[in-house]
Amino acid sequence: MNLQAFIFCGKGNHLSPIVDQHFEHRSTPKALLPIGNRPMIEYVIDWCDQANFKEINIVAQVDEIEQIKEGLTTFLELREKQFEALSKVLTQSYHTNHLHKPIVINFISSKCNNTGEKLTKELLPRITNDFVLLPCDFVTDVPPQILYDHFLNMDDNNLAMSVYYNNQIENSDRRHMGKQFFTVYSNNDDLSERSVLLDIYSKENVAKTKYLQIRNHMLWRYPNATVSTKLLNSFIYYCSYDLVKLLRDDKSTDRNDNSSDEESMEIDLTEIKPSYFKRKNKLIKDTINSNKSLAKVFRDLARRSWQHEEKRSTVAIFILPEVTSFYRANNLNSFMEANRFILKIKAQSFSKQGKTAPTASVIGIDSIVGQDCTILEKTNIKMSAIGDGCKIGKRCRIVGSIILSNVTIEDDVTLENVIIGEHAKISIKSKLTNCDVEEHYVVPSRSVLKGEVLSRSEGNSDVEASSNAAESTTDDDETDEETDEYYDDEEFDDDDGLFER
Amino acid sequence: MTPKQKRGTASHKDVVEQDDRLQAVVLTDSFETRFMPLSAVKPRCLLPLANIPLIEYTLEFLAKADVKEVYLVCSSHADQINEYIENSKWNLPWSPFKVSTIISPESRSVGDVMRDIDNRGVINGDFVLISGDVISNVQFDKMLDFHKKTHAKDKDHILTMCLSKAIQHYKTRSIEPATFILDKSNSRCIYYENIDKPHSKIKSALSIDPELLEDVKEFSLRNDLIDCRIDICSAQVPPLFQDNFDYQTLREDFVKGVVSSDLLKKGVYAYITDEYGSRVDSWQAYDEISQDFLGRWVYPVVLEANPLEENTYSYESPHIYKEKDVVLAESCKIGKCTAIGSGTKIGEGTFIQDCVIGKNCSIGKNIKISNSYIWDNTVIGDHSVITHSIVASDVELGSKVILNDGCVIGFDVKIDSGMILPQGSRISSSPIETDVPSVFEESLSADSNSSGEEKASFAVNKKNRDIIAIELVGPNGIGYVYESDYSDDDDDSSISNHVSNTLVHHVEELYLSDDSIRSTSARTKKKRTMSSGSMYTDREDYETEFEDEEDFEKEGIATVERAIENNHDLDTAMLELNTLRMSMNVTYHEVRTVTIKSILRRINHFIFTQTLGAKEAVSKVFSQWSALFKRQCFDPEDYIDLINIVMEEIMKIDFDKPNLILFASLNSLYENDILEESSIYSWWDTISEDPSYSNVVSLTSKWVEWLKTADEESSEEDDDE
Repeated sequence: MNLQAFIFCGKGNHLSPIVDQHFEHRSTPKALLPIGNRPMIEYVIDWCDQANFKEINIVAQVDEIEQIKEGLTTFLELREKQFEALSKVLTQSYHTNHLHKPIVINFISSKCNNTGEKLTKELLPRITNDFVLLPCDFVTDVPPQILYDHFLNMDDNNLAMSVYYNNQIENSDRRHMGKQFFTVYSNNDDLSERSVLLDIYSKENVAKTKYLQIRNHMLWRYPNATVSTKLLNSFIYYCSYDLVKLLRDDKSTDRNDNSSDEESMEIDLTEIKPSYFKRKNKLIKDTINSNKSLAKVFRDLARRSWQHEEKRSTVAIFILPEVTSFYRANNLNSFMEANRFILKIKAQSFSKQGKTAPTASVIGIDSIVGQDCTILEKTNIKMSAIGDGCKIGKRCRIVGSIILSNVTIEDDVTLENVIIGEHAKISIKSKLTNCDVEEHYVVPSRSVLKGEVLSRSEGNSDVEASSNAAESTTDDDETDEETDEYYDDEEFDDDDGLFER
Repeated sequence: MTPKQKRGTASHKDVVEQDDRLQAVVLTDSFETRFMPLSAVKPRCLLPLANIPLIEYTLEFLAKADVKEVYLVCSSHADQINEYIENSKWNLPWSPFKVSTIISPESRSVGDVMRDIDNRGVINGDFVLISGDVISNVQFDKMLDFHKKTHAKDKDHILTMCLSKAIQHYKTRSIEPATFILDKSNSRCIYYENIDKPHSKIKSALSIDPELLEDVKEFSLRNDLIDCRIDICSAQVPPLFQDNFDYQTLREDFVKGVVSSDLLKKGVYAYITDEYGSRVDSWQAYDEISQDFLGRWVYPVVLEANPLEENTYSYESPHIYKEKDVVLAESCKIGKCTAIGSGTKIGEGTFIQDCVIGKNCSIGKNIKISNSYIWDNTVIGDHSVITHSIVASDVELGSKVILNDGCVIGFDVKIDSGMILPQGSRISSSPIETDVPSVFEESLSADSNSSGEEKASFAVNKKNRDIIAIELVGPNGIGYVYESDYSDDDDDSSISNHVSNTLVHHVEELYLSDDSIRSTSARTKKKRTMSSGSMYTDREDYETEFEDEEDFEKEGIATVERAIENNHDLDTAMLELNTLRMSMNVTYHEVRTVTIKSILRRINHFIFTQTLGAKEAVSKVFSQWSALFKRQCFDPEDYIDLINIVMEEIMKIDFDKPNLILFASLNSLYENDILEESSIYSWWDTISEDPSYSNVVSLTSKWVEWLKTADEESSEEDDDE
C-alpha cells in the first residue's frame, strides 16, 4: 500500500478541563491521554500498522512533539520487540512473506496554527503519493482495509474520500456534547455515481442565520441530496495525489510537476492497481483559502462540486455502516464513550484479573487498574479505568468513571460517570456524579456534586463560561476543531468570489 | 353558485351508502393559460392527446383505482365538459363509478374549488384529488395502502402526494420545478418550495427553518421528482382550505402552509414511485408525454387498449398504431412512434415520423411531418413540411406550407398555399382577447394560479387583433395571431414563461433533454449575469449600446462595495471611483448612482439578515460613507440629483418600508452636512406634487415640514439676538 499517513495531534480544547493549556505547567498532551490506560494515539498507530502504510508521520505542535515522542518510546520499543518475537516464530513457517518490519514513525513538528495551513505549508513538499490524513483520537473496530478498498473504488473525479460516522452517543444530558452539523451529501439510489460530499453547515450557524439555506444550483446539479444531522466527521481523509497538485502554489507547480510525475510513473510500473484505467482529472485551480481547519478546507473543496459552471473534481463521502463502532475522543462525552468501548472489548476478551487489590475489594471484569495502585478493602470498581499510581481508600464505589494517574481517593467516596484529572484528590465521603475534575484539584470532604466542572482557575460556577471563552479565543488554533465560523455575509462573498463571471 | 347537478339517470336513488367507498375530485380546470389559443375553444381536459381526450386518461385511472364516486369540478367551459360526460361511457349504467359534475364558475383557483366542495359537503371520507390532465400508470392500491399505513402511524396525517422519480423522463418536469424536503425515515414532507429553473439568472437559495428540522435525523432534498398531482386527502383537507381562505394553489400555498405551520400540526406524506405519472401542463409536456405514451412508457396504459368505444387501434412495431380504414399510399413511409386515426388518407411519397394524426384527415403527397400532432379532420396540401407543431381540428393547410418549430394552429384555421410560418407562431381562427388582470398576475408570478384561463372570452372588435394576419395565413386564409401574454416584457420570469409557451424545441431546452439527466445545460446562461459581489441580481440589458454604462455600473458598484466591505478609507474609495469614471468617460451622475446603489444594498443586506434595524442600518452606513458625496456633488443641482437618485433607487430595491428608508437616508445625509436645507426645499418643491412618489415620501414630507419650522424658529431666534 503506497499511502503516506499523517496523524494530526490536536490540542483537545474540547477536553477541557482534563486537557488545559492555560497553566504554566502543561498537562499531558491530548494525544497521550489514556483510553483504557493506553495513550489514545497508540490505538491510531496500531490501526496504521494494520493498514500497512508506506510511511507514518505524527504531526504535532512544536511544544508538544517532544512530549509525545517521549510518551511513545516505551510503546515503540515494545513494537520492535513484538516484531522480533513474531519473526522468530515465523521464520520456521511459510508465512515469512507476511512479515513486515514495523514502519519507522516520523515526528514532524509544526509551527502553523491550523490544520489547513499545516497541510499546505509544511506537509505538501513531503507528499509524493496518495496520502491519508488521520486524527490522533479515534478508536474503531473498522479495519483500515475497508476504507482503502473504498478509496480505490471511488469515482475518478474525486479528489479525496472523507469518512463520516454515525453519532452513536445517544444521551445528551452532559454538557460536553460535540457540535452538531448538517452534512449534505448526494444520494446514490439509482445512479452509478457514488455519494459525494456537498456541504456542511454547523447547527449553531444555522441557528444564527435563522435558516438552513440550500443553494438552488446545488439542487439542480444534485437533485437528490440527503441532509443528515447524525453524521460526524471522522477527520479521516484518503486523498489522491491530485489534491497535492491542486493545493500547491502555482510557482512550485512548474518545477515540481515533472519530477514528481516521473517519480510516480516509476512506481506505477512495478505495481498493479486499478488506477491504470483512471481517467486523468483535469484540475481547475481556484483560490482555495487553506488558512483554516482541514474540515473547512474539505468543505470548500466539496462546495466546488456545485458552485461552478464547469464540473470540478469532488470529494467522496464514505459513511461507516451503523454496525461498526467508531469513536473520536474529541470531547469529554465521546472520550468517556471511547473508554467504555475499550473496556467492553477488554471484558469480552480477558478473564478476571486482580492485581494489588486485596481480596476484599471487587474490581469488575470490565475495569482496568494501572500499575502501583493501592485499593483498600470493600471498594467496588465497575466499568472504570484507573490510571497508574492511584490510591483508593476503603468502601469506595467507582462506576463508569475515568481516573487518570496518581489520583488520591479517600474513604467512602462514590463516583459515578466522573472524569478525574491527574494528581487530583477526592476527600472522604464525597459523592460525585457526572463531574469533570481538573488535575491537582482537591475536592473537599463530604461534598456532594452533580454535573459540575471542577477547575482550579475560577469559582465553580464560572467555569463553564470561562472554558467557553477559552474555546472561542483559541478556536482557530485547534486541530480537530470544526467550528463553522462564517457568517451569512461572509459566506455570500465567498460564493461570489468563486463564481465565474 | 349553481346548484350541484346530479347525474346518472336512475342509479343514484338506490346507491347504498357505504363508508369505505372511495370518492374522487377531478379538477378539470387548471386555472392557467398555457394552452392558449386552443383552450379558448375547448377546455384543456378535452384536448386530445394521442387522439383521446385528456380527461379519459384520468377517468381510466380512477376506474382502475376502484373509485366509486367521481366529482368533476368545472369552472370554464363547464357546458362542454358536461355534454361530453353525458355522452360518454362513464354515464352508462354499468360504469364503474358514478360521475357527477360540480359547476363552480366563480372558482379562480384550486383553493376556491376546495372551499366550494366543503360548502357542498359532498366529501365523507378520504378522497382522491386529481387533476383532469394526468396520465399515469401508478398502481393506486399500493399508494392507498401506503396512505392507510401512514395514517395508522400518524393520526395527523392528512395528505399523501404521489411523486414519480424523474430519472428517465427528466425533461417533463421543467415546468414548475419544486423541491420536496422529505424525512428519510418515513417520507414525511418537511418542507416544500418552488425553486427557480436551472437557467434562472437569480442566484437563490432554499431557506429551511431549523425549527422544522428538529427531531429529524436525516432528510433528503428531492429536486428529481415529478409531481403527478394525484393526492389522497383526508376529509379534513377541504375545511382547512376553508379556514385558510388565502390558500390558492395546492402545493405552494396549501402543502407549504401546512407543513411549515406549527399550529396546524398536520402531516403531509409523499409516496414515491418508479411508475409513470405526469400532468399535461404545457406544450412541452404535451409533446413529451405523447412521445412517452406512444413509446409505451406508460404501459399498461397504451393506445391499443382502445379506451374509447369507437377506437380500433392496433399495434405494430416500431411503435406504430393504426385504426381501421386508414388509407396509406404505396410509397408513403410511416416512421416510428406514430398513431393514425381512422378514415385518414395519406398520399404518395409522404413521410411521417413521431407524430399523431387524427381521424378523417387527408394528407397530400410528398409531405414531411415529424414530431407533430395533427388533430381530426385536417387537410394538408402537397409538399408541405411540418416539424414540431400542433395542428388542431378542422384546419386546412394549402400546399407547400411550411410550419416551423413550435407552431400552434388553432381550430378551423385556413392557411393559404406557399406560406411559411416562423418559429413559435400561434394562430387562431377568431381573435382572442386575453384577460387583462390575468396578464398582470401572470407576469408577476410564474406559477399563475388565479387567472381563469380557459374562460378567456372571445372578443370581437378589438384594435389590431381582429385583422386577419395575411402575412402569415395568406390572402385566402383565415387566422389571427395570438399574442403571447409575455412576449413584451423582458425580465427574468417571463423568459421562463416564454419557453413554456412554445413547444419544447428551443435549443436550450433541447440540449437539456439530449444531455445526460444531471447536467443542466442552461447553466451557461446563468453565470453570465452574476453581478459581482452582491446577492441581488438586478435587471440587466444586453444591448450593446449600453455596454459602457453597464460596465461602469457593474465596476462602480463592485468598487464601492469592496470599499464598504473592506473598510477602505474614503480617499482610496474616491480615488478608485474617479479613475473608473475617467477611464469609462461617464458623468458624476453615474458615479452618484452607483454609490447610492451600493450603499442601499448594504443597508438592505443588514435589514435582510436582521443584523440591524432599518433605521440603525441607514444611519450606520450613511454616517460612514456619506462623505463620498462631498466629492461627487459640486453645485445645488447635483444635490437635488443626488436626492432624486436616492429616492429612485429606494423604489427599485423593494424595501419593506421605503418611506422610512428614504426619510432616514435623507435625515442622515442632512445630519452629516451633505445636504443643505435649501437643496432639500427645492427638491421637495419639484417632487411633492408628483403622485407617483406619494407612498415613498409620506414620512419625508413630515420631516421637510419639521425642517422648515425648525428653520423658521432658528431664524427667529437669530432675529431676537
